[in-house]
Amino acid sequence: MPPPNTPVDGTTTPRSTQPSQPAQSSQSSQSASRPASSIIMDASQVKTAVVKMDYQAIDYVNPVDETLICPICRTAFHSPITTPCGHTFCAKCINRALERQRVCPIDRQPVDKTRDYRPIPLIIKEQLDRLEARCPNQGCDYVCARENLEAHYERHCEFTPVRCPKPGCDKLVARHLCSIEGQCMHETTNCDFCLKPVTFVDLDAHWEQECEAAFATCPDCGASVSVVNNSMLKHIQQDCPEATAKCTWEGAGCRVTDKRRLVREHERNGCMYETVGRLLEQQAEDRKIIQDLTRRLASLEAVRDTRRRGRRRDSAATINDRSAAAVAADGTLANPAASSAPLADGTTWESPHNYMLAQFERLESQMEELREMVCEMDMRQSASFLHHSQQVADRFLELGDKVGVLSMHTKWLLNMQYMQRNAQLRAANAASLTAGAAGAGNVGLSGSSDGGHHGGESSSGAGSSSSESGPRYQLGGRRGSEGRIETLTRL
Amino acid sequence: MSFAEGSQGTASGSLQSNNNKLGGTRKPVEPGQNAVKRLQTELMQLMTSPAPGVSAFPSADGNLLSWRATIEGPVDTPYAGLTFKLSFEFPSNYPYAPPTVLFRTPIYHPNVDFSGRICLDILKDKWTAAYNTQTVLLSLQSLLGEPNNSSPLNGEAAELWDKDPALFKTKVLDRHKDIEDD
Repeated sequence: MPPPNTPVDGTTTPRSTQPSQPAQSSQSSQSASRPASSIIMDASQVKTAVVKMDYQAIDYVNPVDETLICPICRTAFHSPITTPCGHTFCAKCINRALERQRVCPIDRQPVDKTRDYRPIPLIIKEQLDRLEARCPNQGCDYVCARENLEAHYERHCEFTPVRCPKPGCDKLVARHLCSIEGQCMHETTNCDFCLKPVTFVDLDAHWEQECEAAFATCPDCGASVSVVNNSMLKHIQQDCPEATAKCTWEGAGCRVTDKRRLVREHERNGCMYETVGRLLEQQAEDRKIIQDLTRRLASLEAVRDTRRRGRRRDSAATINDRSAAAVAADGTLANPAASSAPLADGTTWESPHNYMLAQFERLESQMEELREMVCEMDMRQSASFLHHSQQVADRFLELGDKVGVLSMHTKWLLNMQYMQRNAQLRAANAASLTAGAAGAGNVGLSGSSDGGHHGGESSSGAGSSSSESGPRYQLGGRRGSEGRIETLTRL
Repeated sequence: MSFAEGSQGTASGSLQSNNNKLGGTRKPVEPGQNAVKRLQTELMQLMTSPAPGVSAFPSADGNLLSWRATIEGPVDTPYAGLTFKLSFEFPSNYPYAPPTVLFRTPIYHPNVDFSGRICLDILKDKWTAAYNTQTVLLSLQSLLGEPNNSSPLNGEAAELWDKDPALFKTKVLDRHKDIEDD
């Protein structure tokens, strides 16, 4: 066992100070578990990248907008900053440019390193994060949003260069080549087949391209097949057309065994056992489906049973509550029978929900009944009211008619009286003229009677002159028949 | 040896198809890597959106730090109708340091000496990292029409530019000579 490899980490390049911490810990844990000569690395021991991902090497799926490109490195900004004069650069680029000249590379305005930097708007950052980027490692085709690419590079990408598994070797090696603990991939070994010296990292390329001894002739078909990694065995078992093979439907009873080429032909032409074979396959499939369904049914039934048990408990509790309330309400409620009706018939409600719903429906129907009753009463009332008012209106009409008849009578009587009076006055005038009597008292009387006469003539309507003729009634009444005056006063 | 054999078998298991890609993962991070990357993007830009009258391309030897460029003489200048070839040598810390630019075609110009060296501030102390090959070529093209006669490399040319444009033009044509690409 080699001594603990602490001095080794001291030789790391300054760039890798940060990643060297996990590497060191993983190495020490590995050295503790070294008894086995070779250990396959597990996921927890994934080596971290030694070299930081190079943002300038990223290839973008879509062309990046010119506004997101650093004027110095001409690639999409990586952790950009803005100078006081408003120009944006990658932090690394502008720092390096300021090492030579403390001015902005665009307009040559003085820039004091770091102190003058302003952060860029978040919206730019977001745009950069969302760029669809391809992993910069050669051989890796991974594409994701740029913000996630570094995690892929650092932890997952199989092509990220990591420290060689051998303690003390400074060189880097792709992560997927580090499968053997402690084995330096930069050591030279001899090729298994041609015995030429080759470094481990180059072995695969050597086998595939250079080494002639890595290829052998297939004993059956004569093709040149690589012997690396049992590929010859694979060739004979699966591909070689001349190797002996069995029919696909061997399981169904076919006994054809021949060169693969001929067997394939036999299968193409229709093996007798193909139908049986397919039937068997179908059956196996069906059986699998049935098993699956049975299992699911069983689990569903179990679930249903537990649910049902739970529900029964619930509903029992609800019904007890409800009946207790009904008993309590019995004394006060005028109609306890209605409220306890659902319980009286002994129905068990599936759930409190259903119970409440039933109650609600019942209440609703009652409400509807009440509404109908109110409507009916309303109608009845209005009908009777109409009936009564009709009678009253009829009587009013009758009375009106009678009043009209009476007023007609009155007018006729008044006219009669008026004409009688006129006739008396004329008779009186004629008498005074013929008598020729002279007397102070008589002259005054005639003057006044003249005025009265004219007034009587000017008024044509009997109604309008009634006020005027009021005192004359009394005058005439004293003179006329007593029966007529009686009628008048009665009216 | 048994250990080595075991490791070969295991290591090769997953890598059969990937070995041709390994070159990339093992590439050393050279100091000039950023310069090369920047020049690659510049080349892409020159190919996709070329500026009129100027062109540039890496030299034939495959070294991306060495380019060949051409400038067409601007109209209304003594250089109208002439084509000038130039060489660009980029330092490994490009674009933080300017490229070395030389006229390979002989040119009679106040700011260019007889060996093709150019006196232009942006190729010296006024260089900033924001310049690129295309902007340098366009600056040189405008330098042909507007020489800086206050600090000439070719004093005679600076004098003739103002005094005797006709003679200047003759000297330009005399000096110009198409050269072969190397």
